[in-house]
Amino acid sequence: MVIIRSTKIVLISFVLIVVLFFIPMIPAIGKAMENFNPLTLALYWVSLTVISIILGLATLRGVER
Amino acid sequence: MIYIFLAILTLYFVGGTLIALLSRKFVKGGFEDFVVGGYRVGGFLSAMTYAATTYSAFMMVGLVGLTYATGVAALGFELVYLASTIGILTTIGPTIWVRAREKRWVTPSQMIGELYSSKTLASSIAILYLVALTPYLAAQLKGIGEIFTAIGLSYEVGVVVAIIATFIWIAIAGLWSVATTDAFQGLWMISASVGVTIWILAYLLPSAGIDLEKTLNILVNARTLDNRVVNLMGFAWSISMFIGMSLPWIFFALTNPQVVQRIYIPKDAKAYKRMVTYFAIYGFVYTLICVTLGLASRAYIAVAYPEIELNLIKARDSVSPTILCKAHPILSSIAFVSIFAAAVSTANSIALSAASAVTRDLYISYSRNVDEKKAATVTVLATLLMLLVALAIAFGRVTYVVELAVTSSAILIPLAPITVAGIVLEPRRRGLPYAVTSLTLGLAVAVLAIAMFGPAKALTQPLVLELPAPLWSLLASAIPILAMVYMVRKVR
Repeated sequence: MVIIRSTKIVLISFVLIVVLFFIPMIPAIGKAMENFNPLTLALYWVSLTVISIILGLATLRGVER
Repeated sequence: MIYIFLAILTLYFVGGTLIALLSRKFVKGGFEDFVVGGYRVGGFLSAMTYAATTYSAFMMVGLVGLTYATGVAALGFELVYLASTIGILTTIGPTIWVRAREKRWVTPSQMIGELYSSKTLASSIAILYLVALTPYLAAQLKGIGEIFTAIGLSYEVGVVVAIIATFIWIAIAGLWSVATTDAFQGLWMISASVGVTIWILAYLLPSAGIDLEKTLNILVNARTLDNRVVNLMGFAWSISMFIGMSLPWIFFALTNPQVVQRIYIPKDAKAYKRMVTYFAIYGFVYTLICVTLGLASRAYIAVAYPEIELNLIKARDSVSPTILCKAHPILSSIAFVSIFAAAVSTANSIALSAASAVTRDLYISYSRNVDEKKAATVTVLATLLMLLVALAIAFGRVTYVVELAVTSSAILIPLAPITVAGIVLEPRRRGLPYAVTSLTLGLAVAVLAIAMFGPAKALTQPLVLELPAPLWSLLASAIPILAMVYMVRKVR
């Protein structure tokens, strides 16, 4: 039997992360990011990916068989 | 340059073939062993074959060109794929892995067929794989052909050499030779891309007097084809394009058989965890490198060769070859071979996966007294047939590599809802009408979009309400499945 601790929370977190990737599509937010610094958008997406990797690896620790 | 490239290509081919031959010591025989390595593959090999299967010639050719032409939005498109794949592999993935071992699943079409208790559904999905993945396979071959052309060799020779490598490395030991050569090729790909990045950042850009500040300045004030100024470090894609390109990749880990099959293969829980961990690191580094190459190439070309800057936007698959030809012949040859490796490592996994689905769900399912060795032979023959069809398409040189690859994923999008619901609920026969409706509706939307806009624009053109076809395809296939979830829960 495989057990994943807190599956629902992890699943919701991943859905949220994926949704956050699309936030810069909103013109006002996209424009604000552009104006703040040229690297803001890239760093935003990189940060989300790093969070997803950390969350994924933490979740995998809870996988037992 | 040509001789150095041919020498390094020969080295790569001989090295890969030796590794494939050595991998035969792992083989115990039989169809299961040929297709999923008997569920005995270690964590490192699983990770490398997952990465090399996923990351194709699209990365060093398509993504670099896409970034060059359209800017940093390509990073978001590629990273959302990685984040969602990690999500899938760490939530639903372990359940798929356990059930695959318990139920002896070898193909994703078999998995879905059993979850809905329907051999016909499994067979239909196997056919769908063939239809969707043959262009994807052809896209890999086309990428290789273009690399050969850039070097001064024949397009057709490149395609044929790729077909030979792909076929031989499958035929030698099935999944074992594919996985071991994938590991070899995956390491080659990442090493070459790191080498090229160091060369561009440490030599090429400084040689043209370009530093980080100037690079950003060029990218922020880039020109478009109609001579407008565009900020390539901002969100320069349309909403429809970003959703249309990203959505198929978000569900890629659930819909494309060559990667779903990789979830079955780790030998134990530790190997599974290693597979996900190493893949995540690999994917992250490789994506950053390819996007950096695209942005750096734009800055360099804009300063050193302004006369071709806009031409390369139109012929964006030529960006990588143009830049690589400026490197030392040894470095550029290693990089060109890495693109060849990326294409072959994806092509052999696709061919083995689709051919095994044909064998399992169109041959074994309907045969009595199936001989295991005969099943493996049928898989090899189906692989050969698929490669020959892809060869014919590649010779036709159809559209961009990116669109071809992503269109294939778009056709497979309707498989995402039925796979997730099938794994979570195991609805059996009572879920079948919903699954069939879901698949039919989702496919109808995808086919409609391809018919209306053509394969090159089917993903990105708004279909209804300014939103692209992949979103509507996903919604159309999700609605019947939501009805099924409601029905199953009500019964329970």
